[in-house]
Amino acid sequence: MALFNYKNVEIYYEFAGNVKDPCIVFINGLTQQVQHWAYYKDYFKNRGCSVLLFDLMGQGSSVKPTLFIDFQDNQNVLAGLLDKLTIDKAYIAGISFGGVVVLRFGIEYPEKVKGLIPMSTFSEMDAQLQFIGNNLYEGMVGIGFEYLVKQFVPFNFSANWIGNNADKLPIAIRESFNNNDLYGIQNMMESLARFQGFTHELKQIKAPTLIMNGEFDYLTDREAHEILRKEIPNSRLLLMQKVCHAFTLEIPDIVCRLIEDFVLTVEKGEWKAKQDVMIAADDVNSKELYFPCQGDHTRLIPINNIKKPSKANTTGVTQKNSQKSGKTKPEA
Amino acid sequence: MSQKLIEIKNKAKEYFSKNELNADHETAITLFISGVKSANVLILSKIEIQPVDWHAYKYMHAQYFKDLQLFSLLNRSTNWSYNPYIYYQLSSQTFNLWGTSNLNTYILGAFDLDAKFFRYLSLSHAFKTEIRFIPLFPSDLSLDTPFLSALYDVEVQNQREIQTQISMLKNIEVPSLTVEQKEEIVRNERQVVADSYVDFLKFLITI
Repeated sequence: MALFNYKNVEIYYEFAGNVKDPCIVFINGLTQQVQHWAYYKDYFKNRGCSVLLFDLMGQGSSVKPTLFIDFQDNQNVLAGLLDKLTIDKAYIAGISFGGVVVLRFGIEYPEKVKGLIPMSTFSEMDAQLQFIGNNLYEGMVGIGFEYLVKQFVPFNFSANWIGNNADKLPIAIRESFNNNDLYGIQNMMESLARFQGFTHELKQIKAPTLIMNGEFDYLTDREAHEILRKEIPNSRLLLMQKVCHAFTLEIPDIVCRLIEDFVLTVEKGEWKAKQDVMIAADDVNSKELYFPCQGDHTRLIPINNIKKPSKANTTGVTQKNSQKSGKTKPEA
Repeated sequence: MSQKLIEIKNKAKEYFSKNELNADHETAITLFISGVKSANVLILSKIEIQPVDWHAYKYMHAQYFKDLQLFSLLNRSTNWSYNPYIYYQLSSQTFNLWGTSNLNTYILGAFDLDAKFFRYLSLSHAFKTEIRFIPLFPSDLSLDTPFLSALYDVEVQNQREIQTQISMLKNIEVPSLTVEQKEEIVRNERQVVADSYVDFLKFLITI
């Protein structure tokens, strides 16, 4: 069991692969642990990459401070871990809470970054997200930890996935209850609540950045990701079809090949995204990885594709949408 | 979490993946939790007869009665063992816990906003967070038995109750303590409880 000592407290981490290979760090969402990235660890270590996973302070097997967690410690822990493992630069991926760490790391430690992959995340909380956050917090402390996890389920997964996994969900919820301590997660949520928005700092991020957002992510919505796209100059916004907040768990195979493509492209020095918007293919076997988004990507109603009703025709006939081909499957 | 606590928890998980809970286990767990809960009830009972800030009183009063309720519920749900060694061993462990955590020092005298009160809050926080049994059982184990459902209720209720400890630990001003000293007290009390829990788990998986 690997433990990293940070300010006299223990951080649990797992490292797979060779330090000389491109390293991808995956940072957990709020109630996750390193085990949630098992698929990713296996996928990338078999493709010439190394993978670094760690439980944030307050999570899983890492220390759970009783009094306070300073959000800043998350970035410092990662920087310290990379130093310990003698990794100069890495690709930093993370989801939700972990996505915020990704962005802060990109701002504070640009010299350690090859590329950033913030997923289902935000740089500021609008009134809606704040309200949801407060509800989640109150539900957790007033009712219990399993209630928090249950509240997350419909935000995290599509109806299809929930239906297909109905028998496994109670076990997954119990595992989350077993592997987490309420006060640790509470401290993490409070560290985020004290946190000030940092949209104005995003322009400092110069590294290639692949922003990923689920089509039906009602927790961290399109607007939150649109802010990232507009502010980070070297970025691409990639929309993940038919999935919600925790798409890394629902479609890991599709996410892996997209991250693999991103890493290969940056390694070859071919990353040329300039704040473009793409839609990821939803079939893992498709040759095409993604294609350009034609409509207004900030709307759920495909407003650009609807003809304004005329006097003669009030039914709203849709225009034919011709989509140019985008990137195809990476050559492994 | 200390290395030895992680290791013993992993051993206990492995043990309970192969062994079903029996009356000896249930008796040991109930006696261990009862030792802790009864101590907390005893300490909290004094707030009923001393002047306390209303806000703090409201929450400590609730915790006092909730602990009493859960303590009796768990006792009622337990399949009690006929093995006298379990009772002897748990008496010894509870006695040791009272000694290492200085529980007797919190019983006498009124609460005041001092280091001793902060230490009590840290200790009771550790009691309610370090000692958890449900995570030691397989995730697919049905909790639909009187004992397991009562044990689950104890843990869920502990998570709600610690809001009292969390709120006071974070917010009360203790003029004699710096933030570093507060952190130190919290760490020490957690260690005391963790050590006791490790000793108990070592015994539990040999039953």
